[in-house]
Amino acid sequence: MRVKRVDLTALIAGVGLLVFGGVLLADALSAIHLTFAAYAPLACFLVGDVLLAAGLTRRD
Amino acid sequence: MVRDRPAVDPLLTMTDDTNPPEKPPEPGPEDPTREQPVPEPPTTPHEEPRRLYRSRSDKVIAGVCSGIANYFRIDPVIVRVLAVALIFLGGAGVFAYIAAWLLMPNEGEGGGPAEGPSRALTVAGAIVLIIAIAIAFPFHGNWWGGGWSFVPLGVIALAGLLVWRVASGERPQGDARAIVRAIGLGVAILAGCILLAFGAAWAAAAGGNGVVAGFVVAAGLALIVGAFVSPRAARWMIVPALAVALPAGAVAAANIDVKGGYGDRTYRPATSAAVRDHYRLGAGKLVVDLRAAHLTPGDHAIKLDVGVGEAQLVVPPNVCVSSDTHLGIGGVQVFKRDTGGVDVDHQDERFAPPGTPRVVVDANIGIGAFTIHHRPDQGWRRTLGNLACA
Repeated sequence: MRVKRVDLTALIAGVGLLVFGGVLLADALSAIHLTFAAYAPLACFLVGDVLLAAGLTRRD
Repeated sequence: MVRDRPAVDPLLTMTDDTNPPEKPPEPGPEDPTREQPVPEPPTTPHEEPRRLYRSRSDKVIAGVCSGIANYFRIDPVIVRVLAVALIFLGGAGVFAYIAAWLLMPNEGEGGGPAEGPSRALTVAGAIVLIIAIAIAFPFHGNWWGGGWSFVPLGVIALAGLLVWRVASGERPQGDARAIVRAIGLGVAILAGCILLAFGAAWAAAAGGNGVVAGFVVAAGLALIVGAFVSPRAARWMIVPALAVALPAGAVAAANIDVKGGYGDRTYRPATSAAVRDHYRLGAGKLVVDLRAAHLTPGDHAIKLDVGVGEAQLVVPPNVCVSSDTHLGIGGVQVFKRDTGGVDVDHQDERFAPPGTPRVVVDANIGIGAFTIHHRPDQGWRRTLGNLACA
């Protein structure tokens, strides 16, 4: 049986965006107050994990 | 890359399957050609496309110049001289060299996907490079002459390549045309994503932040599902999804609200009663000039909201000002005092002596500047302080 490969970069980006979107949603609903002190590392983590995943996984 | 080919008779390689060659006549005992070798048919050399490789044997830094010279079959010194000239003439040579370093496979690697550690180093290098550019850009003047005018082109090309690599998960096959095609596609994706980013930022700032946040969550879920169901399609969604999420986050962090419209607005109330309690502007310059208002003794609370831009409060010297300022990114100057940065909370609580009017300002600026002074045309060195306060 042929097993379909999972794209790890897309998976990691998806999880990152899900978390990031959750934070944005919480801010929009006034559950939290997002500041740059929190946004900057969050955005760097999001971009960084996508770049790392893209760099470390190999596409055949 | 030279593919493995099955060992076949050279004669057969030159024949057409549909028209097999006539079988040579069986030589008879009296045939004079019996002992002679069969002549080799003329063969045409197999035309492999030329590949662009980084040279391993003749390199100064990464073998890029030597590889290009091998591709064009010229002396590597010529390419090296041109590369150095490009660095000093415009600076584009630096970016072109780094881009070539990132994309050209090493001699012998065959242009296929690089091995894991090599790719990791490549991506790490790209990240370090982007950080270096971001740090270096604001602090340099024109010491390269007009050289910096070329730099944005290099940055755009490099960004396009990075976008293409993240989106496709592949690397160009070492062919110069493939690299140019990748740059073009990457830049096109980048341009589309910039438009998307502006749209998302505007939507979030115009009150649709909940909708944009919901879109980001949905994009995350789609990527997770797509990673299993359709990996290739999912991969192309990553960059556009980031282009929506990141600006929306910046808008939320700066607390930008552009519902108040945009442009330059100046308010000069002529009486104390005409002073509003709330002035608002989405984007632009907001000036509230109270010099003609003849404020009555006592407190006058004013709230100022500017999404992106500048806010100025001008007061006469006989008015005391107590201020509480919040800025996402930017600077605040209250008479002779100033501060700035990100997430700025500046409080300057003052009290007025009896019989003196006091303006209590609550200012919220998303990205921009806020100034309180006595004369708009006066520099901060010459401006008077908050002298009317106790």
